Formats: sequence, structure tokens, C-alpha cells
Amino acid sequence: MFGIDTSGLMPHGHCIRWKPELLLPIVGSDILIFLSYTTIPIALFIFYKKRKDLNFSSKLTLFLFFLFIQLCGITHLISAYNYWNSEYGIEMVLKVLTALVSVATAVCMFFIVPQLIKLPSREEHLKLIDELRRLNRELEDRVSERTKELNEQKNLLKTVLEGMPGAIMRYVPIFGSDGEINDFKTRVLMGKASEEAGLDHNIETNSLVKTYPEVMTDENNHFNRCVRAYMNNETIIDDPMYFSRTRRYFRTVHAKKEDSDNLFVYFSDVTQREYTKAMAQNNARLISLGELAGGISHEINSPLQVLNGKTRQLKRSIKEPSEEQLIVFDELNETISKISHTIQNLKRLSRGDVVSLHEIEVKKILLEIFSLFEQRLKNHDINLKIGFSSKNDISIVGNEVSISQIINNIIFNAIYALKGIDGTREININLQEEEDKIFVNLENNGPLIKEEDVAHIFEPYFTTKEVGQGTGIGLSLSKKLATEMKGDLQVFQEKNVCFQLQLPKA
Amino acid sequence: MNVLFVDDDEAILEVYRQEVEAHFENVKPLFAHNGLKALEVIENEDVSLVLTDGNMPKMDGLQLAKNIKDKKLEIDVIMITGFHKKVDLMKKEELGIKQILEKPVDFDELLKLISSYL
Repeated sequence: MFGIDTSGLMPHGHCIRWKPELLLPIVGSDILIFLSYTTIPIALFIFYKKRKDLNFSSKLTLFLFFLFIQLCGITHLISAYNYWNSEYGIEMVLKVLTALVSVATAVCMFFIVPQLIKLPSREEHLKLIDELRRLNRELEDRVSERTKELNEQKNLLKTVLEGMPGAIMRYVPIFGSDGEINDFKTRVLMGKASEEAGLDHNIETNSLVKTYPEVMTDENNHFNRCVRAYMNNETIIDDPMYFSRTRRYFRTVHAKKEDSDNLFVYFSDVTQREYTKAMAQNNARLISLGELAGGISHEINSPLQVLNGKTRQLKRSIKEPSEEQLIVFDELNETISKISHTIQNLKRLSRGDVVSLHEIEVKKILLEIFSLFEQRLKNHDINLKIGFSSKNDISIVGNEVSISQIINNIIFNAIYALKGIDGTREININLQEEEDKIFVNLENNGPLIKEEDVAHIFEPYFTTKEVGQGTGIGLSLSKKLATEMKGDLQVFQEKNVCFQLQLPKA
Repeated sequence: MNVLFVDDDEAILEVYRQEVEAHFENVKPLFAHNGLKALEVIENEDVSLVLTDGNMPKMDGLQLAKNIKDKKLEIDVIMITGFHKKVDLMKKEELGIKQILEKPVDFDELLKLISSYL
């Protein structure tokens, strides 16, 4: 081996003269050492296989130990062998290898010993485990406490929300390829969210925009608000916001907190509040209209009386009036009478503070109210056909002002509806009498009301007119006035639209 | 018979005068511009009927009527007013107002009323 001839060299046995008392123990020990040194690496290998978490330096050290011990063992074996043989070349190689590996192993040990020192002792381990157990218990206690608190709050929130006609929803934004939010996934979290509020219970949509396209309109701007609130971690309140689909008003709170990934939107139905506000505004408008009317009529009454008196005086001053002069005086009287009735009608718009009910001769009052519209109807080319006269008047219980306002409203609406008609425009009014009530039917030959609108026509805010049109009284107020008089206001249509005012007889 | 007309509008009083003088021989129209002046006239003359406006300065028609009633003067007061809503129908009796006529008054009705006192 390596060009060294060892065949002529003496086996080691010669050195101890083959004395059995030395040979046997020495060789026996070498063999035993070899066997032991072979099993130790097996143990190391098993350890290596079981501990996959070892780092590189540990693995290296382990490997070197493996080699070192194995080589040591083999060295002892060859040493025993060479008591009878002279394979000193092999022995040399083995010893050199063993030396190299043991040096390497020693070096690695130097590096690994500090880490080994750091490993906690068994006591320390047990202590750590105890500490961990204690901390875990503490954590579990705290978590269960927190969970209880959260549940309580959740239940409180649920209770509060279920009492309100609204809902709280979670909006998750959907971003487009340009990084902008172009839609939201929505889910109702809590609350009644009933049909009244216009939302289906538990609705989950993948697209807010597709399910409620109206949120993109200028009318309610809901989508833009959501985007703004989300992007700026803001809370934005819209009060009120109108949903045309359900004709309801909502107080809408769009809230995004910094530590949350979602936008929360709370809807609370405030339609009743808005209605009340509008009624109050309407009332205020009516009152000021009425005050104006009252003021004007009062200012005109006195001079009108003077005019009447002077006309009579003038007539008296002509000893023998000609026929022509008599006609003129008649016309003067008629005109004065007309002005007088107009004033009466105007005064009827002036509401008192309390709507009191009196016995009224209904035909007389109705005819006087209609006379106020004569000129206006003529201007709009509308024929007014009244199917009754003042003969055999009927006593009803009501309020002149209210009746006047209701009729005003219906006739104004009819005039508006008839604007689009090219042919004959007609308003037909007749009276139906029953045992305990009367019906005033006001029919016009304007376009019929759309079927889906008929049910809503007495609702507040419902209008098919443009903004700024109308007297501000509205059919909802008219209906209210009618019911206040223990009557009613209904609409029917077959060939024509017919509003029917019902009033109780005296 | 003396009939007292009370109104702060001179032109209206003039018209009343013309009507009464044209239709009655034995009815003398008296005039006052407000309630206070009316009470003075009542003190000095024997007045059978008072026809008064509602709104007047110094003392209005309502107060005049009440005064007349409180003084137990036994004179009928008729109110001719453009703003009669202020007078509750119940208050009529309370204030001693016999009747309320609305302005502009129907002169024929007025004359009929005056002649019923003759």
C-alpha cells in the first residue's frame, strides 16, 4: 500500500512473545472496543434521524463523531488483526484518517460546546413548562372573560337594533384593475332589515351596484359616500337619504375605522320624521298663504262696500234711468257680487288655529268654491260641468276651509293633468247622496293614473309633477283634511280619473 | 229712531248715511269713528240700534259691544266686519252681539234689518 512493502515486517504478537496472558486481554479488548464503537454510531444515526430540527453545525458534529467513533473502532480491529499479521500500511491509513477526523471533531466541539452549555437543564425545562402552563391558563381565563364581554355587547347591540326599523350592513370593497373601488360586496349583519326598510333579511350581495343601481345616482350619492368613507377612514352621515325604490327616507351612517378592514353602513328609517317635517312645513306655508289671503281680503272688503254703496247711490240719483243704464247697473251689481264671493273664497283659505266642524250647506259652499275657478278654467280651455244646483241644499258637518283646500287641490291637479290633452278638456262634478253621507265626485278626462302609482297617490312625497308645480297642499294633506272631518278622499278610475270626497251629513 | 253706525272708514259711514236717508224717513243715522266716540254718542242720544265695524282704533267693536252689555243699556249691537272669524259663535251672546254681518254687507239685507226695529 502506497508503495510500502510490509510483508517482511513482524506481526505485533512477537513483541509480547505471544504470551497468552497479554495477548488475549489486549486482542479481546480491541475486538470489544471495535464492536462497541460500531454500535455507538448506530445510536447516533438513530438520533440524527429522529431529530430533524438539528442545524448544520450540529449535523456536522454528529457526522464527524459518527466517523470518528467508527474509525476508532476499525483502528482497534486492525490493531488486533496485526498481532498475527503485518498489514501496517492499512493500519497507517486508518490511523491517519482517524487523526484527521478527530482533529476536525475536536474543532467542531469547541464551537458547539457553548451552545450545549446554553441548553436548559431538566429542572429549567420543567420550570419553563410550568410557567407556560400558568400563562396559558391566564390567557384562557382572559379570553373567556373577553368572549363573555363581547357576547354581552353583541346581545345589547342586537336588542337595540332589532327594536329599530333599520339594519347594519358590512360592505367589503371590490377594487378594479386601476386600484379604485368600483363596487361592494354587502351583507346584512344585524337588525330588522325588514321589507319596510327596503332590504331583504340576510341579504348578501356580490355587487351593491347591480342590486341597487340607484345608489349610483345623484339623488342619493350613497356609493360615493361609501367610497369616501372607506378611503379616508371616515364616518359620514347622510340624513336624510332617499331610496326611490321603496319611497323611504333613511338616516345613513357610513363608518370605517382605521383598525377595521370593512365599511359598516347603518340604515335607520326616518320616513315618518321627514313626513312630519314636511307636514309642518306645508302647514306653515298654508298658514302664511292663509294669512296673506286673509289680509288681502280684509283690505278689499271695506272699499268694496263703499263701491257697492256708491253704485246704489248713483242708480238712485238717476230719476228715470234708460234701459241701457239699468243694464249697466245690473252688470255693476253682478261684478261687485262676484268680487265679494271671491273675497269670501279667499277668506276660506285663511285657517284658524283649530279645525272646527260646523253644519254647512254643502251645495252652496261648493258652488262658491267652483266659481273661483271659472276664469282660470276658461283660460285653460277646460269645460266645467257641475251636475247639481243650489236647490235643495244638503247639510253636512265639516269645515269650510278644509273643504275649500281639498277642492282647490283636486282642481289644480286636474288642470295640470289636462294640460297635455289636445281635444276637449272636461271636469265633471256631481253629488251623490246617501243616508248618512254625501259624495262629491270630481272627474276629469285627463290621462289615467298609472296602475302601479294608484296605491301610492295619497302618500307623502309621491308626485308625478315637476318640482315647483302645485300648491304645496298635496293629496296626502287633502286626505288628512278629509279624515279630520270624519270623511274620506278616494280615487277611482275606469274611463276617467275620479276623486271622491266623502263627507258626513249633519 | 236713532241708529248709530260705528266705523273708522269715513267713506263707509257716508255710504250708510246715503242708504238710510234714501230709504227711511224716520230713521236718523248717527256716526262715530271708534268705540270710545260711540259710547259718547250713546250717552248723549237715545240710540235704538248700533251697527259697528270690528277693527277700530282706541276701542274696537267687540269691546264696544261688551261695554254696552255691561252697562245694561239694552241696545242691540250688530257687528259688520270683514274679519268675523275672531268672534267665536259662542262668544256672541257673551259679548252681547245680536248678529254678525260679513263685509261687504248686503245693503238690502241691512235695510231689512233696520226696518225690523221700526
